[in-house]
Amino acid sequence: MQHRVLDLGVNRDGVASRRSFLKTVGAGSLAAGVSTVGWRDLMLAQAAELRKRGKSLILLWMDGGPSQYDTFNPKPGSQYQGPSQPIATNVPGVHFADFWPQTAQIMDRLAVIRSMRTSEAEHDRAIMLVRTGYPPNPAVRYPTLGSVVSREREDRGRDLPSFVRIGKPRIKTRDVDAGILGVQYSSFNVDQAGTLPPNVRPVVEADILRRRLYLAEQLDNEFARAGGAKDVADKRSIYDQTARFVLSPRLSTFDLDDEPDSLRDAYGRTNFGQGCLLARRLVEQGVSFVEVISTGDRNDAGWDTHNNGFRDMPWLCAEADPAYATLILDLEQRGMLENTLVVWMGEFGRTPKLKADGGRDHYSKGWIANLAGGGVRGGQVIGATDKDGIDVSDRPIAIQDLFVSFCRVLDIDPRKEYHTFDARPIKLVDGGEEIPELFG
Amino acid sequence: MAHRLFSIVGLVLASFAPATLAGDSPRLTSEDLDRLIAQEMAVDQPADLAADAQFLRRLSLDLVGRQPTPEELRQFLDSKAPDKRDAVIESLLSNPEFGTNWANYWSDTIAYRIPPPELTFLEYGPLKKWLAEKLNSGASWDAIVGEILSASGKVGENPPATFVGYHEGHAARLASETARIFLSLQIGCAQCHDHPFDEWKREQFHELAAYFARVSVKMPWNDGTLVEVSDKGKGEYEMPNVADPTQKGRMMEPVFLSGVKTGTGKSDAERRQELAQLITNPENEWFARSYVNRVWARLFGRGFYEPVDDFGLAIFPVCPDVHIAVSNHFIATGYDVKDLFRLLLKTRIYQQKLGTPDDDHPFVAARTGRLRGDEIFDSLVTAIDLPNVKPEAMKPTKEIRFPPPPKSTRDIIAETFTFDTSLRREDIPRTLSQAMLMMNNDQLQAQVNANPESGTVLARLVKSVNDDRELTERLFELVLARRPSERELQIAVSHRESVPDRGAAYEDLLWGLLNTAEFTTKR
Repeated sequence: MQHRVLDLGVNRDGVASRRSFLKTVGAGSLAAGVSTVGWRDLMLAQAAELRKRGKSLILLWMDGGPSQYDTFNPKPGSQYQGPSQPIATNVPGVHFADFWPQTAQIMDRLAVIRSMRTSEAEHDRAIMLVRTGYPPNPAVRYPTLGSVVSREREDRGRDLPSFVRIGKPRIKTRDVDAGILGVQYSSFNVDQAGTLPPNVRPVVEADILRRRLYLAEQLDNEFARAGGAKDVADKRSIYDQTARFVLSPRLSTFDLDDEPDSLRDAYGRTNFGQGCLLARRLVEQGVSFVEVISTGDRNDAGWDTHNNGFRDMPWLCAEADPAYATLILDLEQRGMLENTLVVWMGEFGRTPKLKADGGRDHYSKGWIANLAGGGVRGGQVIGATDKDGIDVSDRPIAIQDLFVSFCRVLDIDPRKEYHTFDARPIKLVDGGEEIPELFG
Repeated sequence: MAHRLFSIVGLVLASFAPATLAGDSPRLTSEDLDRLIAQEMAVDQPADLAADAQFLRRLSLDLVGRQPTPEELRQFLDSKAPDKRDAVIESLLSNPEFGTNWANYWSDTIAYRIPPPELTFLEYGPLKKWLAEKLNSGASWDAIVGEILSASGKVGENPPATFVGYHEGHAARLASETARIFLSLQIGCAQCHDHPFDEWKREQFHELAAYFARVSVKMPWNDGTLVEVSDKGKGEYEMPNVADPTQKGRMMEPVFLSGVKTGTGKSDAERRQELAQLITNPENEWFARSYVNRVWARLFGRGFYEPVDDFGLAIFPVCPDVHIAVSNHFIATGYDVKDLFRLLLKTRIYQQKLGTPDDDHPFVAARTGRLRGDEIFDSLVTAIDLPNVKPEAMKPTKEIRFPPPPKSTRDIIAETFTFDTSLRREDIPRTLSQAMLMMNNDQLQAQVNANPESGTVLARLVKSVNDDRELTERLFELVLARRPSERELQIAVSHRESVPDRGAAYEDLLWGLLNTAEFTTKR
């Protein structure tokens, strides 16, 4: 009996929505007189199923480049330490900036890399490098990592997209996309967490949409017979996939209203906070790659704090801190953290030198990337910068090293090649070595 | 002087003996062209012609970028004139929508591979408008490309400056894209190393880039029409040192792919004008061939060379002597754009029935083609009077310094359905967002409303046409620009009978027609 219930809830396409899941359990339990199947048992079964699907990645993207001093690599006593003060974390000897009190309490789950070193310090070029793993090249539009994963995990039978982006880049022109992989591997974009983007929800009842779809399919037959068979077949394939999505009961995944208020408050009632909650819900449903973009809800400078660091860093961090910490704990409590890699980073860090108002310029030496979950060993700091944070003093990490490590967690061969339309072979990741400390 | 380029041309010419034509003139008639194709494919019998309605929709989509209106369709079907196909070709060629449609094609071709600059929103409106006027006024292709390559000034004031301006004056990118778009040569690979398959040497790429060495471009914040191209006033191009990029590169002088040297020290205007002349010179046969190949591919669903932007030695063309013959005709007419359309559209092979020809007999039947985004928008306007709603632009503020320009209905649909026009037909993806837009978009669905209050085309028809058969025919004419087959009438009738409310049944039918594969496909 228990088995039958599980079969109903968990199938190769992922799992049913939490609500219908509970309904299924309820009905099944009642009918069979079984009341012993708890939520936790189902979660365990689901986790096992998701393991077969492969792990997921949530990228928390600090758009604009966050200051390492005011986040996870404070330099107490240095003339360059800015608006924040160091505080202790729950790992002895490791300090964060005091703008991150909640994250400080989950340091034991984090691997903090303090020695990221790259060559690009302009936003558009750095975003290209850090999000694709390739240096900017005028001849090739490299795909962003999410698109690569979406292609590796392609499964047209699924109802939900495999790559979702939540929030918008603060400035529209600075972005990367599926590039040469083609638009079919682009992210599905949710600008405002909790609100589905336009064109997803049918404007008519589901049964009317179904009968219309059936009518269109019949009308396609004439064209198929008259030489358009290939066009009709291609169209059907994408319409089947689209209908599965827009008619899916799991669309409610994108709706946050059934989450307890206390949990929504814990994530923070900001677009980033609610976006992190949505990311958890999506991963729970088997979505492979979720980006959540943090820009701050007040302006389009985001983490690009050239000016007014004293004014802006506190509230930017206050938006990100509860969301980040709550996400890790929420995933952990649901048994999902070991199958979900959570990455926190931006395109670079900020200069040691700070202006009188606390502003800092772009800096690509010694910036931060945090990893948690997905089998990564927490509670460790990798690499270091010197006492003033001017350059990497220990264990420089290149972006390619990070990408190779992501691939390991996702069980994707980083040396696998794909081909551009002009038959140029391109490796998923070119160069770089796995960072062994992460998994040791 | 090393004429490397032309020695390759010679090689191609020698291996494919040019087809023999009556007389010595390179000019062709449409009958000549049909004969050449028939010879090439060893076909004795002329193919069956497509029915009138199918021909008119195909032609309208190819020339004016939308399906015919019901009035245009009826007029054409009712005409008994023996030369009515020729007449409608002439009439659509002189319709201003012709220029607009092909301007959109070329703007898409250029825009698709221009990466977004840091803080400027690119605006292709001025380029499209300028190109449309040029094409409608009968400007020749060499004159148009000459301006695109050599223009300076602000994009808003001098729109042909868009190409150089929106590539931010980046010499290597401009060299690569100029060769790719206007000559179908993929020399971009030779930027870092000698081309692996073709004969291009790394030096040749950078010698071409040297023509753009003195371009200077100002990229203002936000407004793309203020991007300004001017002369740097000094400097020469340097080929980067691959072995050690920190070292100074090698100075390169501008040398065209044919080996013609332009020499250093020239102004920006002189360099780019000279490049334009070298590119458009009839001696440079790639120029005519590239244009002919692209237009042919769009009209016939397959280029001689595919993808259309690659004449590389690794690509095996179909009917290469036809390609050469048509290109020579194009050169002989002084790159007359409308004349080339006339030549191709009046052939039997353009007007023949749809089929699924293989590469051994590539033009024995017509092929389907995907509509570009703006063609789909214009077809929706024709079918259901879809309004073009444009939200107010936001002014930049201290907090939001870079508000993205608002998107009109046309922008949204064009963007959703856009594709790289240089892709092979079979590589153009159909996407989830396209299907969602056609299924659920509220602006579009607002027109799928039979309620008399709604004021839609559908509501008017449902009210004024009482006969179900006739109403079905009218909807087919509106959306697919043809009359339904008997089978389709049956499908519509039985659907009508299964839905109690008449209005709801026809909302379903209109929705169904808009969501057929046929509506977004040329056939």
